[in-house]
Amino acid sequence: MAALPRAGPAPAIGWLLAGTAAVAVPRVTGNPFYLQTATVAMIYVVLAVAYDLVVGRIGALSLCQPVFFAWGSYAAALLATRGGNPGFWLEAVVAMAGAVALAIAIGVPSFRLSLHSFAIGTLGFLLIAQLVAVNWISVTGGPLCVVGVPALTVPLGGLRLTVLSDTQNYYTILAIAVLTVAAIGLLIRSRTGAALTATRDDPVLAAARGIWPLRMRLTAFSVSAAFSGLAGVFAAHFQHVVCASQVDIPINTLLLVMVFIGGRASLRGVITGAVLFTVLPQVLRVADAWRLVIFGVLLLVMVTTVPDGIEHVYAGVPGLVRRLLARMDRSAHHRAQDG
Amino acid sequence: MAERAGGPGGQLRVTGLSKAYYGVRALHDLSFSVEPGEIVGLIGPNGSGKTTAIDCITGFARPDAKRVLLDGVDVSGVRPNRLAARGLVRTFQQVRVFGTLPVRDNIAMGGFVPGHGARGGRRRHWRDIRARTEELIDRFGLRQVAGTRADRLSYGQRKLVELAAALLCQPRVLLLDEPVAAINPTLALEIRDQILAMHRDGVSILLVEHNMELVTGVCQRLVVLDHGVKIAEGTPDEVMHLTEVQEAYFGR
Repeated sequence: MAALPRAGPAPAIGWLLAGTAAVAVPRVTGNPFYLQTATVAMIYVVLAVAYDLVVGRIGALSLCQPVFFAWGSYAAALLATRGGNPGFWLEAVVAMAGAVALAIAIGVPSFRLSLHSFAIGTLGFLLIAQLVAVNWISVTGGPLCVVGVPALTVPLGGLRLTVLSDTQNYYTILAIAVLTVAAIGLLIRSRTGAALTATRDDPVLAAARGIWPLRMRLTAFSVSAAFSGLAGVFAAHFQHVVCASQVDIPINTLLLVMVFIGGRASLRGVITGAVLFTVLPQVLRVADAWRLVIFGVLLLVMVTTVPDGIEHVYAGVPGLVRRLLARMDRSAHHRAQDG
Repeated sequence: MAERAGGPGGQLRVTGLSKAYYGVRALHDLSFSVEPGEIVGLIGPNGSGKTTAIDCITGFARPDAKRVLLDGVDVSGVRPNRLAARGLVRTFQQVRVFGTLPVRDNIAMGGFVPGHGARGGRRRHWRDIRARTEELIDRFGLRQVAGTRADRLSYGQRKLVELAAALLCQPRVLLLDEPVAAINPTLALEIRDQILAMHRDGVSILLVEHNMELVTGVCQRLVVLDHGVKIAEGTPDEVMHLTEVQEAYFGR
């Protein structure tokens, strides 16, 4: 960005390492359970990074993120089972466009008053969506779910690729995750991203500087909804079933944990949080009943002691490396003097 | 820009501005004007309605009745961000900055003013904004902190950032809400010089301030408020000798 440059260079090495690790996952895990866990982790990377655009970047507590996710899943599932299975592209367009429309419809009235009213407004939206999902049986199947969602097909030129194996599924969601992180990363580093931050820091001053806070907030909320819907498309095909439980508070709670413990408004922090909090519970086999309790306690401890979350650790790395290098330099110097 | 008339200084005309908070009268039927290139001081004891007046004029508060004309065009009820685009720019009494953004971004943020530099394309617009940002950084002596997060600055430095940022919006009428409140005397002198420089550039200025030395030193005309009512208007010399004004400040 030219006129509004960001502070500090991006630590490219870390991203490169993480990317390599992500690509290597299917090679090193023979066990399909681990690969499926990794796939779910990538779904949550998309959701958490999208969610952070609202919570971290504009500082608005949205409680309806699962609605956009579920919307994408229902749209994809219904298109695939009853709409002649048009394939990924059309499903993605419908899911993302519909999510944006929903976000604007709920965002305009909810952002009107204050960010507190936004939280309550989005919570109300989630509860309504939940009722619709459970009770509109002819469409959603109600408690019986939409079942028999076929594997994802991706029309490419004349070909129709079908995503069948676990490895194929993993690489598909990895591609979606990379696209999401890149798109949102570019948005954040753009001038619009600076205006988002300005709106979060001080909406009154932003208005005095010619920025319309409502427009900025709606932009972030819509983009966030669009990528959540996209994650929903993949999830429907991956799980072969879409249930009303996808429109529920626990998913939002988990996203909050990922964003806050990862570090609000930090891409790398949020990604780490998302991976950590899908993989850890699976690997440690924590009992479902205790999981939320543990998350709750962890969240409290983190927010009060390390409000920046895992980002705090990352931010400390360059200084640590510098000090280590300096110490090595000094001891080398001493050795040279002794010798 | 289509929305702006020519010349650096705009004319601001306010008529019949009234505002009550929960039945308490903050402003009653206030009328005054700032002519192109003029510096007008809006003064009065604490609680006399000065900041309320600025809030109402710039669209941050909803007055019960008013008409605000900018260069003869009625801009009553226009949103603050659109007013900034038309050249009606303000600063705040409690200094405000974008805390997590560096000083440079704080200043350049005015480049988002809609319609700003619509001619010549976006790329040229942002090149222009960048150049003017650097110019303002030098002009306000902020070079050393240009890359520093604004919430790490001292109060006085933030005041300078706010002034520079307001200037980047290319104001036609600038409303300054107590620019030297809680500022050390040396910095106050610098800010006074900056205000005079803006005046020389032809910007019309409405100055709300308690510091009488500053007000009488730079303003050509004063409007005096007391309990939300205009009690006097005139040159600083005329106004300061009126008994009504002295009574408002010192009591009967």
